[in-house]
Amino acid sequence: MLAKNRRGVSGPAVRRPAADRAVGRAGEDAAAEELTRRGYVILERNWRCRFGEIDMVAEHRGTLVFVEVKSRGSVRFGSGAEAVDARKQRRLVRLARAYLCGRGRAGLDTPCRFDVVAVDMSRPGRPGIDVIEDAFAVS
Amino acid sequence: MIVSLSSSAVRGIDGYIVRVEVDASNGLPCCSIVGLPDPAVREATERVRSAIRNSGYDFPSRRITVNLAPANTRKEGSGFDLAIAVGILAASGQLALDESVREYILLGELSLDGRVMAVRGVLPCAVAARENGFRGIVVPAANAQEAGYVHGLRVIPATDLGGIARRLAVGGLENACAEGEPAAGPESSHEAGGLDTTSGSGRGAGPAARWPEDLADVAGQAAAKRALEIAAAGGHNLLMIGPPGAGKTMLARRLRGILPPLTWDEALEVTRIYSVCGMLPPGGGMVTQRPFRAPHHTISYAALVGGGMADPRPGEVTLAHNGVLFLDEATEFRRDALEALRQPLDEGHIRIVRSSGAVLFPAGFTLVMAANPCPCGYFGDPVRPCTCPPGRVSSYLNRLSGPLLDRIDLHVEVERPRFGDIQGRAGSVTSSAVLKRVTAAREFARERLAALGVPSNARMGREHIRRAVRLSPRCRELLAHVFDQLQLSMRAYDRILKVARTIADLDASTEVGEEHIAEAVQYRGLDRSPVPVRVPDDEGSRPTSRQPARPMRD
Repeated sequence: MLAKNRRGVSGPAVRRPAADRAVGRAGEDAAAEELTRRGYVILERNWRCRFGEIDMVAEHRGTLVFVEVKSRGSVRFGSGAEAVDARKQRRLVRLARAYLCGRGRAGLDTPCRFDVVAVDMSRPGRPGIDVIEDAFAVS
Repeated sequence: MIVSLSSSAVRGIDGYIVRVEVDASNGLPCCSIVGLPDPAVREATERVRSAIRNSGYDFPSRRITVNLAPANTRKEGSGFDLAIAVGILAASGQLALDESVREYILLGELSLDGRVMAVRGVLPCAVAARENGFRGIVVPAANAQEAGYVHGLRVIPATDLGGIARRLAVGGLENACAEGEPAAGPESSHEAGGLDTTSGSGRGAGPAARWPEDLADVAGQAAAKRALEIAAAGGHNLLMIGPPGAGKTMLARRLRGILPPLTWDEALEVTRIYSVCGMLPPGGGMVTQRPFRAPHHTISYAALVGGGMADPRPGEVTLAHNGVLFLDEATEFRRDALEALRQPLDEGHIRIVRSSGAVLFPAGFTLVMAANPCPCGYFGDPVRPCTCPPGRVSSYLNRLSGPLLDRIDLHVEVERPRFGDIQGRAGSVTSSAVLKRVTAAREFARERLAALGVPSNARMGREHIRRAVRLSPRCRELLAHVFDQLQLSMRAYDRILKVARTIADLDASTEVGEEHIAEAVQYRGLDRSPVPVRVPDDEGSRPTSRQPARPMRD
């Protein structure tokens, strides 16, 4: 079943253009800054395992938060939030389970949440940051 | 934290209690429903999520498990939404429920904005609530009147999730009466429906029907009208045979104008069926008229007798319960559909068995059928010749099988009206006059039927007939003669006695006399003459007027 999703199994399989990667990196930095300002304690950034990568793991008001950051240089193809589709949600759920398992039994009994941070860098100056708390649940 | 609430669902036409357990625990956020939910129930998650958010609460980002017990029966419908939503609010600590909530049933579908929408089957659920000792029921406001028909059950109407959540919070249920409950108490709702509140079985459930059609509209046909009157008075099954345009359909449609009013208990039964089918009038009022169902002849077997794979639904026979099922062009109906009528005709109910279990639907209806005597329609007409090849004639009415015809009490031949009949309406009997006689006859028979425990003369069994019809020696003699002459079946013999009993009721006579039996025998037309049911196929024996005008093909 895992093999169906190449990107899920082996991490980013598609080699993106350098410009896109730069946008992504800058977006994540901006998102981390915004989340910290909102009181999130960032525990991990770019946590990796054999299933892929979680952009950020944070703690917010006693809840463990898995954060997916989507940055867009242009909103022509939809906002970043729209890019987190059902497939990406399933991938994040799988990664979250892997992360929790790594923390032992305590991990499974932690209140958890999935947040999506959409970063819009289409305009010069400060990027527009949209934090969607509890963006989706395990279906 | 686990919260346990009660809701209700319908199987067949009976409600049953469903326990809704909601558990909110830590872990990856997730909301799952277990306990054999069908798709509509599983989708409750999405409706409840939106409804909770749009009612000013948070949907908890926790691991939520909803269990619908008993977990081994399939749950369907959208009525659990309200209980699930309230359960989630309570399990996530956003709502402190009153202790006495456990004595209430919660029923209702949620829309995305948090309003509580009407659901089907509220009346049977309310009945189940009372039988299981619940104190009250929370229902969508649109269904409050319907739930109010159940005595001794407190009805709390719900319009939106936020409002009802506050009502169910600590202390909210005690002072609920002070707020006033529109259309909630049984008394007030009965008045709202304009109905008789004293539930004596003999009382009418509503005013007699006012139909635009009147028996006086039909020219002539005195015999057929008399048969309709008997059918209405005793609930007897009726078959009308005649050429096209003779007025069979017109006559049958006018039957509903002369049916006696429903008693309170009958009306409650009918309302219950229509509640399950979602066919109650807007506002959820009571059904006060006897049903008159006239399905088209292309109807499927399952639509006629009820069916459906996982969750059998009532068919037309059940919708016609306590009323009339009219099959126009009866010979055109599918054979299997017609034959399936046998069980309900005998027993007044139909049992539908599926792998998921059996359900019993009430189906105590009066069957009225209309048919042409042959494919062209003019067989037996004194003037116009029949153009059908002879084999077709005999096979045509034979589509109505012997066992089915045996269950018909009254056979009537409806002839083409003559010119003189069309001329004057004067002297023709009116529906209101017939209705008066029919109602009087039912009233006359009421005590006797109550003692026997049957709803109408037509429903009497052999033992009932023995007790209800005492025959004088002269009547016995007459019957013995008829029995031998017509070579009646035992069932046909019983039917003659039942029809005779009804005719005597119309005469307000406690004894069944010779004249009553003589009239009843007249309505066994298809037993008496071999024509037109069993037409000999050889040409020679047929009278000239019935010679086929077309050359025979074979």
